[in-house]
This record gives sequence, structure tokens and C-alpha cells, in this order.
Amino acid sequence: MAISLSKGGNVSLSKEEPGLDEITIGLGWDVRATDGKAFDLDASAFLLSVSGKVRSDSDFVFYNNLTTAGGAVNHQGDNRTGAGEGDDEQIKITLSKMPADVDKVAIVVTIHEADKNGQSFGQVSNAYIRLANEKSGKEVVRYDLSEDASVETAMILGEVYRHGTDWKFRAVGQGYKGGLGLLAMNYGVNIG
Amino acid sequence: MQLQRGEKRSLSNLGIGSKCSVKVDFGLDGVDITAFGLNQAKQIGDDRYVVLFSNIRSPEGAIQINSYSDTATFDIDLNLLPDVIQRIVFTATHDTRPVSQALSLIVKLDGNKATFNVAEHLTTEKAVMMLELYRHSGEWKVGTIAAGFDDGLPALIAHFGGTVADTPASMPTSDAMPGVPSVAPAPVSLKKITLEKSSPTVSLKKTAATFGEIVVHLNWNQAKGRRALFRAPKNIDLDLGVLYELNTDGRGVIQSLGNAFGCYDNNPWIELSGDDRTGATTGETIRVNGKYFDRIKRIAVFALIYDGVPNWQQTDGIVCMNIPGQPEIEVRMTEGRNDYRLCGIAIIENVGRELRIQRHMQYYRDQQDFADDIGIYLRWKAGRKD
Repeated sequence: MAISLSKGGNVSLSKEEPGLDEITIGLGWDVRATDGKAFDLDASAFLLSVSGKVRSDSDFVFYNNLTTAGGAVNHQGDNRTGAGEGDDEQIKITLSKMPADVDKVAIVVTIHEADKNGQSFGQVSNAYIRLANEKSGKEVVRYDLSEDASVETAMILGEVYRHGTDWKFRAVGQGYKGGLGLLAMNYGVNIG
Repeated sequence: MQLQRGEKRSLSNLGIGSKCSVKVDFGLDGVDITAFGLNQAKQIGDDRYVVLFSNIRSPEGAIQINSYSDTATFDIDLNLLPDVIQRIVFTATHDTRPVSQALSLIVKLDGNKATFNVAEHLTTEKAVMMLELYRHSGEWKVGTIAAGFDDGLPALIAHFGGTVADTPASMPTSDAMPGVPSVAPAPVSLKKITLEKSSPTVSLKKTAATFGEIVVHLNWNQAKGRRALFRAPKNIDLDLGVLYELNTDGRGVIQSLGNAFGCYDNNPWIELSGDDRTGATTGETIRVNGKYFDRIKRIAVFALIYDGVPNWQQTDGIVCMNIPGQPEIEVRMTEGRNDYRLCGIAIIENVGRELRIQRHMQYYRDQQDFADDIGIYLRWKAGRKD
């Protein structure tokens, strides 16, 4: 059973999951059953330095840039409809491979072209994002987007961050107006 | 407050209790509003929890509908619902036209505690899930949807795991002309032509030498589910009748009152099959001998509340007209005037060997008022059933 974190709540990953090295971020949702534009949810990650910004544009891991930092973060590929069982998109993070100047990894979920299509998480069935121990499969946190972020189109799930030699996770669960582009800009990515 | 599409909120958060109302206002004739009580798997588990004009009340009364031509109100008592019903999805459907044309289409929760403008989110859907009430973590929530299916009711029913008997998946969705029946005969309700204000006339070209047997059938609520503890249900006695006018000067009335049953094989070639005093069996049927349709000028169909307080909403009366080789035509008595006992339903006319059916939804004090209004002048005397 996943720990239920309130917004801003912290959990020590090393304490909660001793020996944790590989993290899976899982994003899942149901294929649209009604007629209309498919729901295309995207999971993305930003590798941030102590300044809270990316070191370079390649630290933005998303559907057009699947891997970075020598394989410390790997996006498993874009899913545009939600078809398939279990997680529909995954990002795998290997903590031991993380470059020393990466202080934290922010994980976000967005709906592609949400404004254009008038979509929000509440219209999507069974949309969730979760963070789990890749090896044991144990979930550390899980967020129900359909229910608890119903009017949002983008959300910062949380941050995996260094705390001394420890890695912690801070649940943010904060909705965000403006989509992936604006998020990326705020994290210092040059959007062309 | 105005709800956005996809928004989820707990009812308590909106100040809505377990007893509440869901009111739907729509600006398009022929829109049907339905509440689907669904199980955990979001499927129809029990037909009795599909509440609409033809099933106005779930078994325990947790969901009840009052429907009119431009509005429908559901009275909901969530505490009465069995656990197996996990959600209630409110839908709007139209047989032929996109529901988006129903400007406006607004759902109001418990007065104006929350409103949701549905139509502005729609495009070409002919069946739309507007909003749902559902159980979540021990409480009831409301979620707005405003999404649906271009293929209309069959697709919606399929989405809820129901089956629509004998309706081919390739049912023509281009059936855009409501007045023109398609070729295939079908007893399924989905193929029915409903005579509404928007399409009051149906013309049926003679396909063969005769029309065969034209059957006009009246059915109504059989006081089911109204068994009160301390009093017997009051059955409503609804009568079906016609006024007729022949080409050769004959005219008259066919009704159970005065035992004026008519005759199928002789003048006037129209016959009433008997008097059903409760609606509990098969309703009432009038048959017209199509072989002699050329002798008939017009037939005016009516329903009459003979006994009991006139309360048309409670009767759920539906008149169906069947002509062999044609889809069923139905007229619903939904807009009743409770001070008048007679409901004019439709006029079947022979216009140059073409059968034309015209909706005539008007209420009258009695048969004579109706007859005078449409110009079939008869001499009347008071009668009573024995």
C-alpha cells in the first residue's frame, strides 16, 4: 500500500525502501470510450541543479528526448491514447547513476494540447501517476488524477531530491496552468 | 456555482444532501433524458434502475423522474439506493439529431447549488452522458462529463454493457429525416418513429395494393411500484378510441364506452379489441382493415381517462401505430393537461391514396369537443360503462 502523502509531505526513500536505487514513475489512464479527441497524457522529468533550473535543455526528459545523464533517467516511450494494461507511460530513474550536480528530479504530468481540445484530468477515466521501487514493485506514492486533479491540465507530482547522502521524495500534487511548455520554461528549458 | 467539464466534487462540499434533485432543461423536441443506475463495473446490472419516461421510478423510489417536453426533473434519495448501484449517469439522447442542437442544455443540481452547461461542450453526439453522481471513498460525488456517442442511444447502451435487441450495428445513422421511415420493418423500440412537435407528420406511400392491417395500440402505466402500505393502488382506466370519417358519408366513434367496438370486416372496417380496465394485461388495441383503406377518409385517435383523476403524467401513456412493413410510430402523452379527460393523439388521413399521420397532441374536455374541433360532427349523448 502506497503512503498517502499530503501536499508538501516528505518521505525518505532510503528509509522507506532500503536499498532503493531504481525508481519507476508510472502514468496510467484509460482509452477514451466516448467519441472525440483521444486523451494523450505525458509524463516528463526535469533534472535540476541546486538553482532549481536544468543544467541544459537535455535535462528535460519527455516524449522527444527519452534519455539523459548517461542513462540515469530513461523515458520508456510515448503513449498517445492510454491503450494497454498497467502503466501506459514509464520513466525509470537510477539514483546511483545520477550526476553529482543534479540536486533533484521534478516529475510532472500534462495533457497534450489540453486547452485546444478542452480537456482536463477529470474527463479521463482512471488516470493516475505513481512512484514505485522498480525492483520490489512497491509503490511509494500514488496520485489519483481523475478524482483529485479533475479541473487541472498539468500537475507537478513531486520531486525526488538529495538530502545529504539520502534521497527523499516531496509530494507536491500542485495543478499548473499553461501546460508542459510553460513548465519547461520555468525550469529553465529553452523552448523553440 | 458553475461546474466545469470533468470537474469532480463531493456533494457535501456543494451543500447538497442525500435527498436532492437533478433538473435538466433542454431546448430541442425529441430529447430523451434518462438516469442510468450502474454497478461497480459502470454497467447496467438491473434494468429497473434505468429511469426514464417509460420507467419513472426505481423499485424503492430512490430515483424518480417527472418529464415534460422541455424539462425533466429527477428526485433522488441516495440513502435509499442499494449498495450495488454505485453511480447514476444522467444522459440526453435524440434519435436523429445531435444533442448539441438542444440550446440550451443545462443541468441544475438541487435548485441552483451547482449548474452545468452541457451543450457548449458538444459537437455531433446524438447520445450524451451529461453528469454523474457516484460513490467514492464513502461519500457521494458529482462529476460532469459532457461526452458521448455520434451513433446515439445504441452506442450509449453498449457502453453501459447493455444490449439492444436485434439492432444491427450498422444501423443507418444518416437517418436524418425523422419523418421518412426506413425500409426494414423492426419491432425494436430504437427504430421507432416518434411523432414529436418537431416532426408532426409522417407520410407513408402505399407500397403494395393495401396497407394490410393498421394497428393502433395504447399502453399505460399499470400502477406498478405504487403499492402503498395502507391503500390499494388506484388503477387508471385509460380508453383508446377513434373518431372516423368515411369517404362515403359515414362517420362515428369507436370506443368501449357504449360498446361501440366497430367491425373489422365490415363498415367501418375499424375495430376495438376490447376494454382493458387496468392496463395490466396488454393495453387496448384498435385495428384498421387496410384492405378497405380507400373507403376511409380519416381516423382521429384519442385516449380518454374514463375513471380516476385525470393525471396524464402518471399514466405514462404511449400510443403505438403499426403498419406492416413500416417502423412503429409512437406518440407519448407527456404534456398532459390534468383538467381535461381526453387527449387527441394523431389523425390518420387518406390523402390521394397516401396514408398520412399527423400528430395531434391536444387535450379536450370530452369526445364532442375533440370531434367538433376537427370537424367530425356527430350527435352525442351521455354514456356510462356498465
